[in-house]
Amino acid sequence: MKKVLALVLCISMLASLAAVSFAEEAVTLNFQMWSDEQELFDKLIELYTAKHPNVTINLTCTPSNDYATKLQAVVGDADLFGISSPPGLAEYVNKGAVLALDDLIAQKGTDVSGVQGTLDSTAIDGKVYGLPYKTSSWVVYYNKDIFDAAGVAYPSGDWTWEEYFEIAGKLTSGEGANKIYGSLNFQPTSMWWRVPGNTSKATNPINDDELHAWMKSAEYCKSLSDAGYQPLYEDMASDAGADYSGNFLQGKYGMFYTGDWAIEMLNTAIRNGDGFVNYDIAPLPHWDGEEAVTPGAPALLMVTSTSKHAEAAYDFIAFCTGAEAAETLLSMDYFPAWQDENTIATYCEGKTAPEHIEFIVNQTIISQVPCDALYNPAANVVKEEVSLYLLDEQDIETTEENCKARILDEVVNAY
Amino acid sequence: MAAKKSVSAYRKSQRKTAILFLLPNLVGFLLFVVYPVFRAAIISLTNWNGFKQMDFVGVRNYVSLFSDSTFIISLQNTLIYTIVTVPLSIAFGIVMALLMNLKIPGIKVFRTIYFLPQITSMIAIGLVWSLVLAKYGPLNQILMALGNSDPPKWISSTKYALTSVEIVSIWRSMGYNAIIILAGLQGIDAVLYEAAKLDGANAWQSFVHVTIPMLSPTIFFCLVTQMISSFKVFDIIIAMTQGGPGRATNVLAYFVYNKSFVDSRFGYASAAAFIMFAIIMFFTAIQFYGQKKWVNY
Repeated sequence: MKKVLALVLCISMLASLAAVSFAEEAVTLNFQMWSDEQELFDKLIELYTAKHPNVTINLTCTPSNDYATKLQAVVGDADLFGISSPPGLAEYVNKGAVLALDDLIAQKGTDVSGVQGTLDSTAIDGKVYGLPYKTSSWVVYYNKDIFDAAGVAYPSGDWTWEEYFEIAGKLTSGEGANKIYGSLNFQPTSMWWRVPGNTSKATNPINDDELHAWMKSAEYCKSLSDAGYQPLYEDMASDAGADYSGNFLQGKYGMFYTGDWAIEMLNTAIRNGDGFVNYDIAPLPHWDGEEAVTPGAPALLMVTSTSKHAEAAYDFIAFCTGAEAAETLLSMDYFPAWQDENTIATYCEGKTAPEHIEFIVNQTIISQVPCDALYNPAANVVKEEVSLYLLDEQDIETTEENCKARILDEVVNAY
Repeated sequence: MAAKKSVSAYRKSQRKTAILFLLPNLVGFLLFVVYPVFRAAIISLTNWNGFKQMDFVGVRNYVSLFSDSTFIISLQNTLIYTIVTVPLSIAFGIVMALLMNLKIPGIKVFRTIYFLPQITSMIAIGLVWSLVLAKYGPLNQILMALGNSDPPKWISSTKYALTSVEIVSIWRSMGYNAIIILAGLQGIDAVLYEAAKLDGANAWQSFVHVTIPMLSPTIFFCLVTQMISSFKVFDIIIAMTQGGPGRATNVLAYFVYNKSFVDSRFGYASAAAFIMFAIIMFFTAIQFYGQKKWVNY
């Protein structure tokens, strides 16, 4: 009798074991992201979990301004997380918080052909740590009505920063409250002033020659203000955190350059009746004698090195980077990291606002930020010093010298 | 003999009850104050980046802090800020308390109004003051109307940024000091003033020889708490200037925050926090030593 009972027990145990291994294990993934992306990832998670009912993804979103700080505290408990630019990736790879994905990519046979360029530019020591889901690049937005009023032809393609300056001058008119500025600028503590320098492929201030190109860029931006084509930087000082697409919507500025994300912001504001501006886009200018390129940065998804469900987390981020998710991104006006003829055609198709949306896809994108963990602290030093230059507190030579000395002291030798 | 024993048994059981009541607070204090302090002391001797790697580096963090120009600047700014704001916020607090002590109808409304900044969010205060101090803001409009053709650029110039922050800070804390000092004022026995009057003291003499000595414990309290909070100033900086322009308003607490939560150098930041602790400890000790000379209990 006892033997029979033991046999029955053994069989039932084996049966239950088999049952577990056949049905897919239920997995819960913790996913950290910044709030701007909530709508997108709600949708992608919905699509993904419809096919993988055993997976539950807990998406936690933090407002963009606090995200970098918050992430430090929670990354250890997350399975996967997003980063808006490559230096952030390098920072977390340096900390040992990110799982290298090369083995999983090979093992799962993931098709990464559509994002290969980004993978190459964000590899660290030859290893892939993050998969991109979207890219952004910079263009010039211009107010057609102000161009018409000044009788200036719209920028229609290849142009230089010198021409941008000249046109900004022609668009500037009026006095006091009625003043129309040719160009929009940003508060002195922002890093917008470096963008003309980025088009000379100067992206990392740790290198002296790239720092020098940034100084030229700051001089250029300040000259626009000194000429009266932009507000003075000191007038922008208390504008921290102001919404610049909002300023452009007021119709007081002829041109400004920012990322392609502003298309969605402007269109949404116009649709909601929060303002109206008759706008179009043009490529970012380049310096005389240089080729036309635009800085851009991919947003990436990573699996943490501490995740207990690394494979499941990888499977989800591979889905987000792939061709299928690209369609969802396109339907929401994002430009996906996955690029083939099909996605480019879909992006441009049927878009009337702005009219020349094809400029977004027909440009040479260079990585705006290097995959270097020292970039952020170095950029912070430069930001502090250049803000003093833009506020007329120190000259450009002193600024450059201070940047060099402080980057060496506080960044290169400190880490 | 027996009675004595029962008293001590009663004491014992009472002590147990007391400990029981203190326990929740004590556990919280040990867990959230004592433990982090010791932990930070250990971290300050490492190069911890907030995640995995934690190598012991000895006192290297402490040594390199003193050759870090940003740390030196933030230390100087903190000292200047404290030296300016503490005496002024207490002096204004005393004047306000004297005014609030007058028996005028509606004085309670003013007491409430002057206390309001203390309970208002610093972010809101920072935003409003940024507007007041803006280049074409109300303050500069008034200065221009008074004939100053080139008013200060306040928070957008390195020359006035720290002053701007100090003004807001004094404005914010003087109401709090005034309420504390007012309570002290109302605790002074009227008999003392009568006696002074009989001896022929005028208003000023009775202020100097009666009010101030009788207020000294209250003033001492304000001085110590105000000084500690001035050394730790952070919220007003992040709300108004983010340490700028350049490094003109970078203070110790902001430096610690930046090094830890922006640059991920928790070891280095902890070392800076301990230096800050040592400085506060030093000045507080001086005050407690010095009070013997001027505070009357």
